Amino acid sequence: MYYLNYYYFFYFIIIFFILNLILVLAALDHFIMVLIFLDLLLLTTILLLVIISSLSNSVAGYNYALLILAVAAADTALGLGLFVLYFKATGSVSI
Amino acid sequence: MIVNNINFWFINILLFLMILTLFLIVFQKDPVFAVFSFILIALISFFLLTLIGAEFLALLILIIYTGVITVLFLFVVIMYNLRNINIYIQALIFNPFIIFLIYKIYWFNKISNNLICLLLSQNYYLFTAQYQLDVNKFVDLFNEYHILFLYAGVLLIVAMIGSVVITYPFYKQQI
Repeated sequence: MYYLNYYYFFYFIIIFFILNLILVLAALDHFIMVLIFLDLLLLTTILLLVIISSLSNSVAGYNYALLILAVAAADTALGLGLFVLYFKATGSVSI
Repeated sequence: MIVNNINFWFINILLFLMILTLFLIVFQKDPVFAVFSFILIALISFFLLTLIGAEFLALLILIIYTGVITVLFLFVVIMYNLRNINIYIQALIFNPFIIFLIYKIYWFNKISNNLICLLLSQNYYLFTAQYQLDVNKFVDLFNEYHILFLYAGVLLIVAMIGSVVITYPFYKQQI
């Protein structure tokens, strides 16, 4: 039996968050990759909220995680709609 | 939180795989395979949350991320036949802002090195109390927090109507 060290988990999530932030900046040439990395940013926040709620034994984290899931779905829908318009107007993918 | 021996190593391996698959997205040339490797991260987070004990959100992530978001991405990528990505990784490496960020990550690593070490974590832990999730508290999720579900539903409706309005060709009717 082991005790799960949460610092380890938080450290990985922070690294994942910062890497995604860097990749959003680096992938500005490709609109769809920016949207993919934005979704991964939201996924890391969901993981953080779930772990914090499991530590504090409260349900509040789960609720905010649900809201962030809805935000992620809305984000991709509107972002890809904008991409369709942008690609029709300019014919290029880079922002 | 006490976990089994097998779960402990699975969680550590999955966390490493999560970062490795992030690089697998970056180095793909074809955006279709980039979206497929995006599915891998959603699956890894699904397994992580099931190992921790949050099955409800794990299933939600499995449904929404792999069932909704990746389908949207694949639809757009295949419809417009986008086959060549050029993410400039050289610009990523030589950007001074990113060098500053890597410097910060390095010092965070140095400061919290004792907390992170994998072998030490067997003996060193912060939360000593044994934790078990009260299922009765999840009833609050439907009693006290039900309005958040409604907010989420309204947000999705607004996004759906907005995406339809954005992409609908109004200019053809005017002509």
